[in-house]
Amino acid sequence: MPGPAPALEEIDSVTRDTHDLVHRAQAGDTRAFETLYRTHVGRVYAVCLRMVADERRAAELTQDTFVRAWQHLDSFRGDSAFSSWLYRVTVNVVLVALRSRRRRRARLEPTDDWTRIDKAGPRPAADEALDLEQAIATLPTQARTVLVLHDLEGYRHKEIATLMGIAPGTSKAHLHRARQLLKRFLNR
Amino acid sequence: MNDHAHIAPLLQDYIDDALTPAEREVVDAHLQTCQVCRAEHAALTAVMTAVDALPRSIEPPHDLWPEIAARLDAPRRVEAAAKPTLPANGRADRSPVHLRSRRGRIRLPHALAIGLALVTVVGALWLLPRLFTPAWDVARLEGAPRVGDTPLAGTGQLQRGEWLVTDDQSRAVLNVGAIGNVEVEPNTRLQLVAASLRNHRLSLASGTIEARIAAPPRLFFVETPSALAIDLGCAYRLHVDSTGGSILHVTAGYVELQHGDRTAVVPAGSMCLTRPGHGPGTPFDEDASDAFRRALAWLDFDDGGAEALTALLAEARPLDAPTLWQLMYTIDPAERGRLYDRLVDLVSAPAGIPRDAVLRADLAAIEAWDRHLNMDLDTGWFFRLFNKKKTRSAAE
Repeated sequence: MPGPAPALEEIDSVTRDTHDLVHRAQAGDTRAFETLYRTHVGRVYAVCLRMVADERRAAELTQDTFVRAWQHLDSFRGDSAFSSWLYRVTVNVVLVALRSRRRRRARLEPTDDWTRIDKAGPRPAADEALDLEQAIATLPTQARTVLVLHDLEGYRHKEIATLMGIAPGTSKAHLHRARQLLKRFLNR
Repeated sequence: MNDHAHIAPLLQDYIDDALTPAEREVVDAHLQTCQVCRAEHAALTAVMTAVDALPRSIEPPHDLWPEIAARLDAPRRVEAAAKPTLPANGRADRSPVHLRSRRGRIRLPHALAIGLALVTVVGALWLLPRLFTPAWDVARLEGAPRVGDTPLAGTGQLQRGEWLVTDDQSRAVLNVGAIGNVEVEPNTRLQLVAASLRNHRLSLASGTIEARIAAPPRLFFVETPSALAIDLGCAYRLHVDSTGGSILHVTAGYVELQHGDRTAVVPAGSMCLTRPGHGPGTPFDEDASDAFRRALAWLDFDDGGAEALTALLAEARPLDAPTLWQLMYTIDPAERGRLYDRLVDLVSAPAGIPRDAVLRADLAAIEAWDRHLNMDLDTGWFFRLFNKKKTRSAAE
């Protein structure tokens, strides 16, 4: 059951506060930027973690995201919400990292093994969300990336295709594969 | 029974509410009567519900702010001043140089340790000013290049914000901090934008440069009117014309071109065009014919459509196969058939992969072709061209 909707005044106040913090950060105020960091770090880290499936790497990419956001704050002109802009920066940082050959060799082991989830043993009843997170982490890299962008972050296939340098049809195919694998997992 | 085969591919779009009303009606009607598809629909919906219920926020294992704050000394992209100092957080004494010298004192014989420390200090004294300098050394090669309004007689320095300008008789060479150099060809306008440890950044308004960088990736950047060139450890030649378009020719390593959300990673032996408002086009082989390049530019930047594709296919040779394959799912789907037919004229198709599987973007077919051409689907542009030399030899 969702809680009561925040009052319009409250939303306005949050928007004004964020606007003020961004403005101060753009002027070089690192304390204001730290407040923005504390507000958004959970969401940024979640995107990174789900896309790369590696805690240490996700922490590094979260740092990279905020450093990049700081360096490019001047390009944020308030046309969209700051959070939207920051999450787009996050996705770009992660996708660039995934394209990096060195990091790919060292850290990512995409698999096309459809039986990998099946081999994971029976699914324990407790903490299904955690199980699902682990199942997502075992998806092939591209399938996982598309699933996170589409189903969790709300990107459309056309946007994902542009971001990843693939065709929209390929993005759909990856999403199909991800959902089929997760379906198998949930049905175990 | 055939309905299953027809409906199954539509179920995902049905769930995502991406079907036309007419298609939706067809699926609705089928679900009324087909238990198998109803079960599949229910299972996929359960997956989406479970995924949707996941928390959008996860706290990192530890507070990342101290590490981020330590990196914020890097200047803003254009406006912020380069800071020729160590981080202002009191951590300067924890530099790798210092730690190495401390270890040396503990482990090595005393005299050797002193010698090592001296070498370290001298090395640091030589290196640090070059790493952190807000200005880069510049030397005249020919003619009379200018730094700002001042003619450069022999050597000098280019300060942040200053322009280095060559006329049709002059050339110069610019040291990129301590990580490489840039040769500046005649008729070039080049500005030093940032000169810090993590951000070596030039702006090339017009003309030609040749960059040679020996450093980890993403430390050296060149802004142009149509794309940002990001060094990934490489040597390259970059020319910006009077319209703001550019042509990149990579001779070693890799360069990433970026504009908005569009990115192309160009490996050695390849070239790529950029256009204002479009960003990078499709990378192509340095030995591609002029006619092939013209057709590709027509297709990439000028909405050449079917006519441009006809010209491109007519001019394609085996070495152009990677470029054709990259276009397979970016062109109008109705054109895939003839693109495919030309591709298999140039290189053999992978065994067991039928034409129609490629045309309908079957994932297994795409992966088979990627493997066949030694490209890697997982990493898009970059790895599609990464093994192009192998592709070429296989094709020939």
